[in-house]
Amino acid sequence: MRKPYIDFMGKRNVFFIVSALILAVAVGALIFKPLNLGIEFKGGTIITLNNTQSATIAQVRAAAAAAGVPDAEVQATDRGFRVRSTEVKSVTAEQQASVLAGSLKVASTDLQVSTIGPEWGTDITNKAMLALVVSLIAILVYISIRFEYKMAVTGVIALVHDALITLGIYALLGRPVTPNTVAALLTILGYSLYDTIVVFHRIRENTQSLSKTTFMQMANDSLNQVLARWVNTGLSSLIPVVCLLLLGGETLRDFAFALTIGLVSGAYSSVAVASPLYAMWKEREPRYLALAKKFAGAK
Amino acid sequence: MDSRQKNYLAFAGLAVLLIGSLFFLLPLRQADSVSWQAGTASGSSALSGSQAVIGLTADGPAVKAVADSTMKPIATLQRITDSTATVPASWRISAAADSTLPISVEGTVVTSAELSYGTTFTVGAYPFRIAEGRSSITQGLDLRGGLSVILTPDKPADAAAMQRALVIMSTRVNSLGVSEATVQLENDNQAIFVQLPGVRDAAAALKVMGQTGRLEFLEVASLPTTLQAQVQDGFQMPVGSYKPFMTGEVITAASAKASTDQTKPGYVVTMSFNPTGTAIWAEVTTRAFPTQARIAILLDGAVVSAPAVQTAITSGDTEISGSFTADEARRLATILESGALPVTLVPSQTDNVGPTLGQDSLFQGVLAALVGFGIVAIYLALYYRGFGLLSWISLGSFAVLYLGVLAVLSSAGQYALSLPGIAGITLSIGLAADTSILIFERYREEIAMGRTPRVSAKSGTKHAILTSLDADAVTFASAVPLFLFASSTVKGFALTLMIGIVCDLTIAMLFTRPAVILLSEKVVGKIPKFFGVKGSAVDA
Repeated sequence: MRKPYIDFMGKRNVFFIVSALILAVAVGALIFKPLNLGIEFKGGTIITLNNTQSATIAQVRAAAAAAGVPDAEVQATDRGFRVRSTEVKSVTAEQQASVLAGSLKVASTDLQVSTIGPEWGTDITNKAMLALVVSLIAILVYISIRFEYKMAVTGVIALVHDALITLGIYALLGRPVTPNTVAALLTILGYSLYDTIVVFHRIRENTQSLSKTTFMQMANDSLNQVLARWVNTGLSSLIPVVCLLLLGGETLRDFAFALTIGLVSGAYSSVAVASPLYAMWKEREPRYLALAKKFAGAK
Repeated sequence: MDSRQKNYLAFAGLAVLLIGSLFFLLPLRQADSVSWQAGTASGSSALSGSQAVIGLTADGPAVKAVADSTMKPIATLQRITDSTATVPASWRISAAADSTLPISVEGTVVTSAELSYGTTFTVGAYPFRIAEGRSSITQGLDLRGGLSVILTPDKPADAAAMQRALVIMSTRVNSLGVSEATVQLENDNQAIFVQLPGVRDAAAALKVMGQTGRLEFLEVASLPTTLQAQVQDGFQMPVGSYKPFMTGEVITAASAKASTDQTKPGYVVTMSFNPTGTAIWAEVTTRAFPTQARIAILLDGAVVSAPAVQTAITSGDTEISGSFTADEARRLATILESGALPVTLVPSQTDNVGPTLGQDSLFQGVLAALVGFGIVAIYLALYYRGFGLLSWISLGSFAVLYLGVLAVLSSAGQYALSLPGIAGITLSIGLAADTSILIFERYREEIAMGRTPRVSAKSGTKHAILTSLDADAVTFASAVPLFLFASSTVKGFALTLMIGIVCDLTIAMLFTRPAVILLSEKVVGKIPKFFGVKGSAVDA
């Protein structure tokens, strides 16, 4: 079996254009169609009703209105219904929910009521931002120490690329962003670098014996050398997360959706963004410029 | 020590870890049981499983029903040994899975009854039980059902005020009589996190938590005789059954200090009153001390302490002595000084999950994780053949170690599995598979370069583990800030992920690497195809 050899670096401009287009759509979506922030950020109540038997969405809407649930938005789930409202007083929300459950004949054991006050939402958003900034710094410092700062910077560029695409897709689809989405997004920060680190490890190893070819060529060889593990590690991370997306139920879907986009984008960006950017940057260093000159006509 | 011995030593280390994990994972525990004394109508315990077996050292027709504290039947009793059997006869209590109310056995013929969960057996002199329907990894309230509330002050409060609020909130929560309730400070002392498993009436519980706090003083002698005997610490006075002689506003200071009386060691609580309070206090204590009558201190109608009056106190300076520990004394002093909450607490986040709904979510999450695990395992076996099968042992050991660590943390009260935690576990499965893949790929690559399996195994696994160490470290680095700064639900996700990463690297070093090295010495060279490597370069 011959291993395929792909000229990733030669096609880097194609990758950059594809990424730029996707990013433009994502950023455009974020600007013109703002994120649908879940009640966790604005304050409000989510009532989840399972085992609703034969109740229809219209019946649930009517029952919610009768129970005095303010601005009820009803959504069907695989086990029943989810009702979002703007109620921020927990005692009132509990009372409305038990009236609603009673009229739909849903047992109290099949009911979930979550209420969040408005200031609390701001508080957890601020904390998430703090976690984000600290995460980025921690990653930059770690890669700079273990590898070099150029890898850290290009790795982080790829990571921002992944995060923007994920958020853009949330904005496009109008999918509510919950604290779980934010947690998943923050995890992508670390995890989207997994493949990048694997590639960088190989590039660093090959750099030590670099003399017979250009840096760009060596980087492309490195990518091809780790191609099989890039595919396999990508799949083995993606499979469990996709299972979670398909089978995991409503709350876990919040995580799984963001993780799925992030994993796919992360695998792509390690090859299409981080590695070519890094190679281009390194090629400007004098010793690699010399190599590039020496082998300019050879290829 | 030669390198082969090192590999066996790694296996031995792993075996110890895995046996330890299994010990914590299997629901095998020293039996803990609740017993009822002769003649009493009740004893109480939380029933968490769907069934419990009750053994009676003597039985009789009067054992009729299992009831909650209001004697409303909540479960049925079924005799499971025949009537001619020698004592103890066994009865099976069947109750709904969510019964966490105190359970009382009604019947006067019961001389002694024991309630334990599941099946009990003995090894040597030690009783063990296999718990039914209880998992060794603690489940969070989003899975087992219950009410969790985050209370925050309406304006920033200092740590001391929040500490006082915590004590008062604990008293209120205890008065709800929910077993395993927890109350703790969170978020840099700016939030109180209350967890009430299996609470039925969430609205009522929220109202109790939102009270303003009422500190009252009551002469026990003024109560009807039947009620007087019931005045013990923690007793909730029926509404309207009593008339206090003063309220907490007259207290100017209260503190705890070590007792100076040699005959009564321990801690005492001192308090002083304003002029109005001093006058009332003098009158009541003068009336009470000849009979050493008791005065009950009530917080929101619940008895906090009920000391007997030892002397008439006209100066107002009062010392309450009992056999208090330092903590008890401090708690009482806090309540006396600030019966009313020092800050206004509002529920910022409440989550009330029905137990059936929670278990549904758990089932879906576990199913998804298992299916993902299965597909990844099959894929690895197809792609890496012999090493794929090896990865099954790696992944299996990873699962046992991982769940074992979660069970250990659970038993120390440091971990509760929540839905976000399940997401963390799922992601960790992928990470564990990734590490095996990196090891096998690097190994195959070195063999393809013409090295022998033995040499490839040593250098390849080393390089691969270094790579995954860096890749895992970056994921770990992004989880740490999440754990430190994010809200409590997200914390569970971050913690689960961090533990997964550590377990993954442990398995890679203690199992996968030594196993690949040992297999390469003998086996791989003989059947290279089975391991998916080229047969050309085998050890001579």
